[in-house]
Amino acid sequence: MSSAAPRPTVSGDATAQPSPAVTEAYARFALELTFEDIPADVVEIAREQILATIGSCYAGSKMPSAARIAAGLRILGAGETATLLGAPGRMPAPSAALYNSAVAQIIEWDDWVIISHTGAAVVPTVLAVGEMVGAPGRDIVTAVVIGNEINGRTSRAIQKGAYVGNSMPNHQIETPLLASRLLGLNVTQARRAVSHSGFLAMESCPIGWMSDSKVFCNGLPAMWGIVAASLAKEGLVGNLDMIEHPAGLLSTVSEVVDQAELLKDLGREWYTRTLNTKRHPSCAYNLAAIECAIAVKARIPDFDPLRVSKLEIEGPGVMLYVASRFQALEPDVYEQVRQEAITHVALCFDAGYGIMASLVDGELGFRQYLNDRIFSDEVRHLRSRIEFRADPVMHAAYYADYQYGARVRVTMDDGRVYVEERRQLLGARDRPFDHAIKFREGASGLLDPKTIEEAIGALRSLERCEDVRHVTRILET
Amino acid sequence: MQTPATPDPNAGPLYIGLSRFARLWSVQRGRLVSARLEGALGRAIRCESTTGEIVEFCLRREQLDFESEGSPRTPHATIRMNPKDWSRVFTGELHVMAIILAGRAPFPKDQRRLLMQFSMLLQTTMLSGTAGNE
Repeated sequence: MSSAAPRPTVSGDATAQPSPAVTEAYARFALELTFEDIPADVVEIAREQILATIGSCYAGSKMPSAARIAAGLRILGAGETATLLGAPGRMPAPSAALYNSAVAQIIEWDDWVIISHTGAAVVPTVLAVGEMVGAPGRDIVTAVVIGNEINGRTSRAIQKGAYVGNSMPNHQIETPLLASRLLGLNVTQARRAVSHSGFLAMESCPIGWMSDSKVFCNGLPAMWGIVAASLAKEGLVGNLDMIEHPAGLLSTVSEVVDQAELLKDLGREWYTRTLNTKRHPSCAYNLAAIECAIAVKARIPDFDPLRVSKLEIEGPGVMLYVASRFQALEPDVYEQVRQEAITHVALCFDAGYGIMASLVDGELGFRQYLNDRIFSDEVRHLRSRIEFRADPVMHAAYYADYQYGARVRVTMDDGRVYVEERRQLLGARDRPFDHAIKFREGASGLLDPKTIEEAIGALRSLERCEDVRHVTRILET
Repeated sequence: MQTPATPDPNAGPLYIGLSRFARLWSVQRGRLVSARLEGALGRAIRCESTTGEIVEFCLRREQLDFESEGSPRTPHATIRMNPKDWSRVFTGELHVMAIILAGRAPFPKDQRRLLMQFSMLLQTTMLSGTAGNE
């Protein structure tokens, strides 16, 4: 590996600071990092990330809109190259990457490093191209680490000036680089691939976070990164400095670009170690409260949601902000879901819904995002009983150290009160869980139990596999 | 103009709501401001009700400074909502962005980040408030 030296800016401003050649440095990092360069614990995190992300894809593929996405994508052509995780048949690599990236996020069960979602873009891109070229397992794991490292840094660079979330446009940087590595591009071609991928910056419209548009379009960087790399490999010329240029991708999507973050400790400090996964599908800000609700339900053998007189939620301000994001709609969010003006996606960001459904069922999975639960009497009753309050200590802990805390207090109509509190979500880097649980939940009903265990074993020893297609064959449904 | 100790008795609901926010904000002494939210500090924000009431202020780390009437400063962001929505925002039940996402308030491109940051700070502050710390 080599690091790029700073070079002059192109602005012509004599007072401007030199702009590091970020695109070139990322291209070299993506093409030259070897499996042996990566610390063993980072390899293990990436392997687990792949396992968990595929579990998310399987679970997401059970949602009604997943079948619509698969059917609609057939217009892009048929092919036998890459596996659809949770759907029958195969597709060309770009289409399969798009499908898998979309279903990985369809119920908000995807992971993140630093502040940026990553696995749902990185893993589908790497798997699809890996299948296309018959990449060895160690290249798959290495590429996933590369994706995390670049994604974490680009997210840090724009976090003060861009609308962040899992629609972050920084995926347009890591996905073409990952495809470039696996397709065998050289450094110049990889830099051009970033240009092709990033020219049209994919900023999301906030209103789209209520519908399947978000699900589908969040998969576009995975598809487009592969196409961009293919175009560059064929010699299509693009800009060589699309990331760092004052009129490039990051400056286009963010009012503030902290250039110092882009190459900070690249190849020395491993941002993959900050990976957070989710035990349950919902926006991360809601997860501690959801775990509390599940714990309350488990404590009360004869629990009847219809006898709850008050449901009080306390947490950081950001949880309350997300929770009430769609609460001013007219007609309300539930009625609009009923009318198919929007979808369950809005409820993935609604802390109240996730908590109520968890309290009713003692679990939160894809089934809780189906209409039977959304429009149930129990949820309707709880909607009129729920209250939110900010906890300044939890608020400060979130911003100081990304502690996603919450407290849930349930008061029954006979006066009994149950309180549960979590200071951090399950799946945070400092509170891990066994990702085989997530894989099994997702794959249940799609693969037989023996195949599920075989797949878990194969994914947990992925670096020993000579051709990733030996593993993806097990994953076919 | 500094935060008033008591609202003007002739003030409208927008001024009264923002005065309560100002009091609660002072109590928090900047605790709710993180690096990602501090972009809302030091900016002129103009709040308008569809009834015609207008209040302008600047949010600082430990206090809110109301602007005098007829301030020549061009606001960095303007929030215009109906009184019912303002009322729900001042209880903390909703935030400004929720009203925007419902299509009942404007969301100009050049004001978006400030509106999102202020929206979160306003709601968090209102939901942090109890009779005891007012």
